[in-house]
Amino acid sequence: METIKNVKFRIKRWIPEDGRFRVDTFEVPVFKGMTVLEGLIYIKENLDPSLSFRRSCRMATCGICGIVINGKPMLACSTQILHLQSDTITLEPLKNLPLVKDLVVDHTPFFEKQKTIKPYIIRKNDLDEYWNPTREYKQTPREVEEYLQFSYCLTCALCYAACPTSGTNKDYLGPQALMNAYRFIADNRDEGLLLRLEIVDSPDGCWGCHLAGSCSDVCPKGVDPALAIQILRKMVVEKDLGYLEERKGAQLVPPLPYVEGVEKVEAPKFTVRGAKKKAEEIQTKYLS
Amino acid sequence: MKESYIRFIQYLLGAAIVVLILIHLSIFTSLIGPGYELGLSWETVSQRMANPFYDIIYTLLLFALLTHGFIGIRNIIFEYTTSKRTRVAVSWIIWTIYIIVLIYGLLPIIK
Repeated sequence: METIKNVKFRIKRWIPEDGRFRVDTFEVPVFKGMTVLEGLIYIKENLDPSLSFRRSCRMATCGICGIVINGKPMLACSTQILHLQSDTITLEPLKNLPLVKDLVVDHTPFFEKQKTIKPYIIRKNDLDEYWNPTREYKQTPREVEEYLQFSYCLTCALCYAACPTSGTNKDYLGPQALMNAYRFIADNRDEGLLLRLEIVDSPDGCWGCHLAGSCSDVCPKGVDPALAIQILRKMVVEKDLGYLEERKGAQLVPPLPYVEGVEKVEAPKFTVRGAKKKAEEIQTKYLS
Repeated sequence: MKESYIRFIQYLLGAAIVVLILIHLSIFTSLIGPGYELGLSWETVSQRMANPFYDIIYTLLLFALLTHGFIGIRNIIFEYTTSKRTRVAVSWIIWTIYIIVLIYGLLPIIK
């Protein structure tokens, strides 16, 4: 690849042994189409093998390479260096999350908060069908549209890192968890509307949002968590006023006939030991 | 009280304040009142306070502003405290001060 210019990478690295940040500068030869992640890989391979950062898919699908680039949380793999139009690029670890090393942060609090809103389809009556599916839930293309954009979330935590409320209130659920709550509420297969509205109705839930809108601004998939949070607020108030009731989830219909010669695809097995038991416990507890 | 009730009251009072403030300001102008300078004179103010209509308007405005303001202060303080016990304590302190200020504010209207 032909080098177009050299770009300076100013990397704010967290040094856990010292308990402070250190800024290192590296010069990286940049070719057309080169991403920030490729720049980081170049540094690790050629300049400093001790540099730590996370990466996996390299195609904006896994969401693990999120870092702060020139002051804005972005995915390193989908950000081209030349698009930044700068001879010096500043890189920092994501904000609002515990630091591990260099550009690596611990996503645990982020995922713990996501767990609290029960990010799965809740069904009340057809539990047997839930665990041993024989039929399909009826869902029209219009009903899919209701939650489609929210299902694009990568759980990359960029919105969480950009959120000023998450920065000041450590118990705030954060834009991703709240958006995810709405994603399942908007899904016509789900029957957990009132349960989730109960969870988000708190000063640390949907009412904690300051309407900064930075979550929607930084989302690499164009998801609008700020919109979802406002809809949640509206729904909570509607519920209190008696306008909103638990809806009946999508009805079960027989599956479409399989085309002859095409092998039937089996549902995936549980990969985490004890996951099914735990999920059943939650389901039973909720129903009781 | 549930958080959503508090926030809903906050929104309703916010809307009410807009209307009441407009009435309050237009009293001093020639739209309703006698003009800015005369509208603030002792005679006009005392006359106005003797009128039950303005008494109701000012009571509503005082109640709306104080409630809206104190809910706002409560929300701000809540962002700096995450412990439930502290939040309950903050709520008690806030509402106690609110009652005192409300009574103090009502005194000139009632007298």
